[in-house]
Amino acid sequence: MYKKSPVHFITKICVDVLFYVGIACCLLVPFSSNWLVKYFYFQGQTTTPMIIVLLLSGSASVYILYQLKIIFKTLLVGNPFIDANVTCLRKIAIASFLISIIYIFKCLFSFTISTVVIISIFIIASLFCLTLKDLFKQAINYKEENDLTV
Amino acid sequence: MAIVIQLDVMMAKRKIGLMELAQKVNITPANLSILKNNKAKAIRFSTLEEICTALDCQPGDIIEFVKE
Repeated sequence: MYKKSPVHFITKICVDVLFYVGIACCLLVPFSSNWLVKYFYFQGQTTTPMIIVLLLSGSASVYILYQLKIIFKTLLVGNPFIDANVTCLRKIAIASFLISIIYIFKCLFSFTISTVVIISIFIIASLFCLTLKDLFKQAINYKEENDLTV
Repeated sequence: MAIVIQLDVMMAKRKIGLMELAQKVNITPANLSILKNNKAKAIRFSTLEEICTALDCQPGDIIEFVKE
């Protein structure tokens, strides 16, 4: 039985806000290169590759948030253990892995310690999502068995 | 599936409908329909006991093993 919790609503609102802010940030990246150069450390002539990296990783992040929105929608309805959520978690894992690959590529022209941290975090996030996906799959099997026990 | 539920045969013999049996057995008609249509993965002993009581039959009259 699903228990309504304010934590779920607050987290959903946070995910929604981050999703729309993420879209706005991604759309503004090409137009804000001057501002980015001013406030962030770019090595020499790496502005264009950096903008590409930010655009690609930003798009992947927005995609992750979109998948999270789908998961939260099913959670608030009270039926999170469905095959669609397993697919969502797999997509999140792929997107996280993609982000880590983008930042590995970024290391080739602009190496920073924080980039290594980002790579590690997203690789771990990807592995975590794959594990969570398998857990969800197992939970779906248990739920199905329970639902079909008369 | 090797195990076949013959509930509809027994229900026809006893001239009892799905809704009436569901009421007697104390389970929802949806669950009884799952059982009747061979969609169920398991059946509780308590449910089987109540079905047998309601239909006045043995478990073997409802459940049949068919060799594949």
